[in-house]
Amino acid sequence: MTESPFTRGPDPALGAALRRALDAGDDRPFVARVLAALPAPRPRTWEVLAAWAQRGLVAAAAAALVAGLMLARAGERPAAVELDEAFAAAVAAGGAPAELALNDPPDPSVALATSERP
Amino acid sequence: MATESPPQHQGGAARTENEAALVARARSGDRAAFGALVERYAGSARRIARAVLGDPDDADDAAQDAFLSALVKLDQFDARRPFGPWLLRIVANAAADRRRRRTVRRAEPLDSNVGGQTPGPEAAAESGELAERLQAALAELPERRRLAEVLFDVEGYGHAEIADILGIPEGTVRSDVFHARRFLRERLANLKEEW
Repeated sequence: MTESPFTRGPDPALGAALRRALDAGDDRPFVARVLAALPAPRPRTWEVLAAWAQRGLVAAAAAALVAGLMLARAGERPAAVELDEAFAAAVAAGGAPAELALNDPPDPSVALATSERP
Repeated sequence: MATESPPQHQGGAARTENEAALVARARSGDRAAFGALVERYAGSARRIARAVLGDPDDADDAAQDAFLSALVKLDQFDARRPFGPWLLRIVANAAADRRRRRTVRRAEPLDSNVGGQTPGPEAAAESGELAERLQAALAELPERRRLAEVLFDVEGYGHAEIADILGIPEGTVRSDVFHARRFLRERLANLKEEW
């Protein structure tokens, strides 16, 4: 230590002694530890969006298909049930010709006889 | 033995240009480029953290936190300025934060017996008398004065750069370095022949 305390430049002797006192050893394990602690690299935005878009399209198509099928089935069944019930009720009440409830077309003579009923 | 890195202010324009390229690559997600920066500044970061904390393990934890924090904040770094002072400011802050938390922990009764003040066998054996005396003397210095001295005489930064790192006026840095040197020289006076 030969320099004056008033010197403006670094003191190499004091600097070297302090460096020895503060050095913690080999830096390589520390560097490896820091690199191992780095978070996983973030994918680019367009890669994320592309992945989402592909899955999203498949999911949307599947959802649309399922929804369409459900709506179609839901729209058909009640109408068929209501018609059958209306015929059955009419026949039971005698308010409509029984022929209307038949599956096959009625014989014309029967239809004529019905119309001649007083 | 630690890898000997030259003082950060030395190395000239080529080093700065190379460093700017590394920072730009690290910003765009190049982990190898960030790894090169970690390798380049590991020694300085560990020494600065140790100057604040004393304990080498605590210092390494703080230095690691600082590197990870620097990676997150890399977008905020002004690429026209040197990387070293910016990074070491983060290191000094991370170490100071850890020291404050450690102080709080040690103030709690349950933790006061954990990892007590007695140095372990490794710590006792790792340094010679001069290093031990220096560490003890450094610990007696106020933190800002200690950092100014280490940044000036060990890391080779100029007064203006240290002022930037520590966020204090340049005149204060000159005063801190002067007083720190005088204190250390007084403490080591009887070991003068070992220098």
